[in-house]
Amino acid sequence: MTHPKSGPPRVAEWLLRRRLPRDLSEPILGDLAERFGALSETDPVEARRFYWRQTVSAWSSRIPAARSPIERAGRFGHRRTASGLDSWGQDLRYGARRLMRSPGFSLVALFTLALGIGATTTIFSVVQETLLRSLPFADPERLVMVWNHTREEPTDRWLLTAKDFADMQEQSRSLEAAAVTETVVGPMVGAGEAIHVRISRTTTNFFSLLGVEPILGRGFVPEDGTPVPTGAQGPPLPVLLSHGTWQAHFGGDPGVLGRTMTIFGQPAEVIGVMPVDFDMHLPDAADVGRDMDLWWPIRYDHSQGSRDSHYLTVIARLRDGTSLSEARAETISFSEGIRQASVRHRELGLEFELTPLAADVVAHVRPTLVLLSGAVGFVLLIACANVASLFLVRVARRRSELAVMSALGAGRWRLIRQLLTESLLLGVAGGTGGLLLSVAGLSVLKRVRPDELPWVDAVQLDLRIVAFALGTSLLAALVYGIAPAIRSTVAAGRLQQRAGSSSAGESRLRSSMVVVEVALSLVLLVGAGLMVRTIGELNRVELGFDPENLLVVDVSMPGQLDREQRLQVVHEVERTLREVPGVEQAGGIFPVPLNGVYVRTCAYAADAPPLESEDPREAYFRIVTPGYFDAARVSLRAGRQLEASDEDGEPAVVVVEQRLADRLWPGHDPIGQRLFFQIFSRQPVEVRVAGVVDNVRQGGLIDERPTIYMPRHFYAAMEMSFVVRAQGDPERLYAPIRSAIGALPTEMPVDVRAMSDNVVRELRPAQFVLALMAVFSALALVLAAVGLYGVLAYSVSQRRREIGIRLAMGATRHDVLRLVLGEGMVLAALGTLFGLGAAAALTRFMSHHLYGVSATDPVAFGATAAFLLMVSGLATWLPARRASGVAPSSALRYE
Amino acid sequence: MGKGNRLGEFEEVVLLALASFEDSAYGVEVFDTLARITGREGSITGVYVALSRLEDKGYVKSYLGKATAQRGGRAKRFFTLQPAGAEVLKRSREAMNALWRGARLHPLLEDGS
Repeated sequence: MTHPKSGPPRVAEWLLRRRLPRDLSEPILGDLAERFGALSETDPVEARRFYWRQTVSAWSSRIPAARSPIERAGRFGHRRTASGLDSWGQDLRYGARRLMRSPGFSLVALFTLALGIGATTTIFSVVQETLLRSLPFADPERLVMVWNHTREEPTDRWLLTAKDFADMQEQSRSLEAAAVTETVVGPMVGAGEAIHVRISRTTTNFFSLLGVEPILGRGFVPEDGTPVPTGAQGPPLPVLLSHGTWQAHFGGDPGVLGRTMTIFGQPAEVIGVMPVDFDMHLPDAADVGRDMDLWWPIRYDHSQGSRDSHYLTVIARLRDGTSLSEARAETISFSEGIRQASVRHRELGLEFELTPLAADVVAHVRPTLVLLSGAVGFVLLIACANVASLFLVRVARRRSELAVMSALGAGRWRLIRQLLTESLLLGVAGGTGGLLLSVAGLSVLKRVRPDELPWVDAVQLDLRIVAFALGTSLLAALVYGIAPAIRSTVAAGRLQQRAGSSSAGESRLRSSMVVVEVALSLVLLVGAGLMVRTIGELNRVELGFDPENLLVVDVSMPGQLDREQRLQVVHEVERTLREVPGVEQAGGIFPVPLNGVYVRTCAYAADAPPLESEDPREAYFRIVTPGYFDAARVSLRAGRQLEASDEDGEPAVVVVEQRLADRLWPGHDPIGQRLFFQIFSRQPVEVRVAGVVDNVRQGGLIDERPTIYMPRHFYAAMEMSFVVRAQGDPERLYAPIRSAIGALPTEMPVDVRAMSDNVVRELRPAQFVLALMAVFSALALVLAAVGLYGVLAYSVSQRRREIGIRLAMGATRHDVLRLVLGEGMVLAALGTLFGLGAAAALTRFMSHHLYGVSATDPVAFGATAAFLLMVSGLATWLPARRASGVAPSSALRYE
Repeated sequence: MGKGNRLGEFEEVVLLALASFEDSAYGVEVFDTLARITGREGSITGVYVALSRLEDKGYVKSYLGKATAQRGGRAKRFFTLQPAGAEVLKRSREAMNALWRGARLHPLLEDGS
C-alpha cells in the first residue's frame, strides 16, 4: 500500500478525539485512518465524506462513560484533559446545563444582577460622559478661566474688571489669548413676531480661542469689534445664530446670511450659523448659562473701562508648551503689579487666579455624580450579596454531587473552577440584562433632562459602556462566586453529610451577608430620608412673598427709547395690567425674585460710600414701582412703602429688608437712617431709609442676602418685569395680558408665566437627587428584604424536623413563630445597627445637597431605621408563619 | 449489572458478524461484514461500543495488535469470540427457531422462506 497523499481531515480527527473515550479512540481512529487511506486512492472526495460521516455518527451515538470508576473520575480530574481550553468548554457546558436545570434560582439571580448592573451602568455612562470626556474645543487642556478673589475670601470667584482684562491681555506672555463673554436677554424683531433671545456678547476672538468655526458663513473678525462712539450709528451688528435659532426662526434656510433684524433696537445682520452641538460649557460661576440663541461681538475697548466693576467672564488659552503652574506664577506677579496701580485692589488684596476649564465646568455636578455613583455601588454590592447567598444555598443542595465529584478525583481547584464558571455564566447573562436595563434607564434620564446632568443628551451606548457593563458583571461574578466556591470544597469533603443541609459555616456566611445587605440599604434609605427632610425644609422656607396666583410678566423695551420714555412705558404697562379684568393688583419689579438669570447686586454701607467704608457689604438691588409690595404681598414692617412721589428722586429714599436693618442699625429705628450704595461702576449714592419690609428669598430658596428696593429713577433698565396678582385662576389671564400689552403703541415682546414656576425650578435640583436616591434605596430595600426572606425561608426548611420536635414536645405555634421572627429580627437589628453607623460616617458626603437638616439628622435616621425594621419584620413574618404551620407528624418524617 | 447478560439486538448482530470470522477480527472487518449483510454503512464507533459491551459481558475478548503506518501509527484492536458468546448465540438461535416453527401457521407468513 502506498502512503496516502494526505491524512484524514484534521478537524474531524480532532472532533473524534474529543468525543471518544481513551480506550476506544486509539483503535477507532486507527481503523478510520486505514479505511480513509484505502478509499482516498480511488476517490479522495468520498474518502473525506466517509470520514466526516463517521465523525458525525460518533458524535450522535450514545457512548457509555469510560467503564471503570477510576477512568470515570478522569472526566472530572486533570488526567483526561488534553488542554485547559477544552476543559473550560466542558465546565461551561456543564455549568449552563446546571443553571437551566434550576430556572427559578437562575431567574432570580439573573434579575437581581441585571438590576444592580443596569443601575451601575446607567450612572457610569453619565459619569464618563460628564467627568471623563474632553470638552468639544480644540486642545481643551490649554483652556483656563480667569478669576479674581480677595485675600480674605480666597475661594470666592469674582469676575474681572474691564481695565484689568485689557492689561492682562497686553502683558501676559503665558496666555496666548483671552476672551470675554457675557449673557444678556433681549428682544429680537425681524424673524416673525418679536421674541426674547438669549444673547452671548463676546470679544471677537472668542470662537478662534475655543477653536470652533461656524458651519455656515464666517466667524467674527477683529474689525467686528471696532468700538462705535456713543450716539453714532455704526455698521449693523454682525450676528452668529445658534443652530437651534436658525432652525426654529429661519427655517434652516441656507440663505439666511445677510438677513437683517433689530435686536435691542439695534440693526443686526446674520453672518453665520454655529454647529448644532456647540454649547457654552463654562462653569456656573461664570454666570453665562447655556442654550444661547445668538452671539454678537462686544464693540468696546476694554482698556477704556474701569478697574472697579467686576463684570467680565474671561476665558483664556495657555500658550503652547506653557504649563498651568508657569502661567499661575506669572499671574501672581501680574496681580502684584495691578495692586501697585490701584488703591482699591491693594485694599481688597485682589488676586488673579487661573483654573482649568475642563475641571471647572463639571465642578458643580461632581458632588451629585459622586453621590449617585456611591449609591449605585451600594445597590450593586447588595445585589452581589444576594446572589452569593443564593449560590450558597445551591452549594448546600448540591453537596452530594460535589462530594461524588471530589471522591472521583476532582481536585479542590477543579471544584472551585466549576462553580466559578457558573457564577461567570450568570454574570455575563446578568450583564447583558443590565445593559438592556441601562438603555431604558438612559432614555428615561434623557426625557427628564435634569440640569444636574447637563450632558445626558450626549450619552451614547458605545463600546466603552458595553465593556464597563461586562467588566462589572465579571467582577461581580467573582465577588458573589468566590465565597460559595470556596465553601463548596469544604462541603465536598463531607461525603456523609445529607444533601441539602447547611453547615454552620454556611449559615453564618449567609446571615452575615444579609446583615451587610440590610446595613447597606439603610445607608441609602437614610440618604433618601435626608433628601425628603431637605425638600420639606425648602418647602417650609418663608419666601417673604406669596407666589400663589401670582403671574410674572416680562417686557423688553426697544433700544431707541430714551430714559424718560422708558420710565413712561413702565408706567403705561403697569396701568394697562391693572385694567385687565381678573387682575387684583399689579406692580413692577426688576429683576423678579427667584428669576434664575439675573443677580444684580450692589455694594452698600451705612457710614460712608462703600469704597471708603470700613464695612462694605453686598445686597441685591431691585427697581420697584409703588404697587409692587401689595401685589407680591411683601409686608411692611416699619415706615412706609415707596410712593409715586419718590420717583422724582427728591429726597432720595429706598426701602430695605428687615435683615439689612438688623445688621446695620441693631436696636435703633431704621427709618430715616442714612445709607450709601453703589451700582456697578457708577457714582455712589446717598439715600434715606423710608421703610422696612419682610425678608424675601431673592436669589434662591436658601439665599439670605438682603435686598434694597429703590424707585425707578435710580436705574431705568431696558427690561422690566411685573407681578400680577390674579383673582382666581391665573391661567385665564395669560391671553388677555398679552393682547392688552400688544395693543400698546410701543412694540415689545411679552412673556407671561406663573411665579410658582420659579419656586418649582428652585426645588428641582433637590427633587432630582431625591428621586434617584429614592429609586436606588427602594431597589436596595427590595433586594435586602428578598435576601432576608431567603435566608429565613431556607433556615425554616432546614429546621422542619427540629420545629416538628419542638411542637411535639409541647411548644405552641406562637413559640415557633417567635423563634423564627426572633432569628430574623436579630439579623435585621444587627444590619440596622451597622447601617446607622455607616450612614453616620457617610452622609456628610452629601451635605452639599442638604438644606436645613444636619447630615446626622436624628429624624431621618430614626424614621428610616424604623421603616427598614418594619419591612424586615414583614420579610421575616412570612417564613415564620410557614414554620408555625408545620405539622409535628410530617416534620418527624421529613428527611 | 441491571440489564443482566441479555443481548441487545444490535449486539447480537455484531456478535454474529464477528462469529463469521474463523479466528479473530478487528473493527473495520466487522464493520464491513455488517455493511455487506445489511446493505447500509453503519458507524464504526457504534460497532466498537457494541463490542466493548460484549467484552464487558464476557462474550468476546480483545487484544491489541501492532501499530502500522497506514493507521497513523495506531494499534489494531482484535476481538475473538468466547465460548460464552458462542453459547448465547446458539441459545438465541434455538429460541428463534422454536418461535419460527410456531409462527409458520400464520397466513401472512405463508410465502415466507
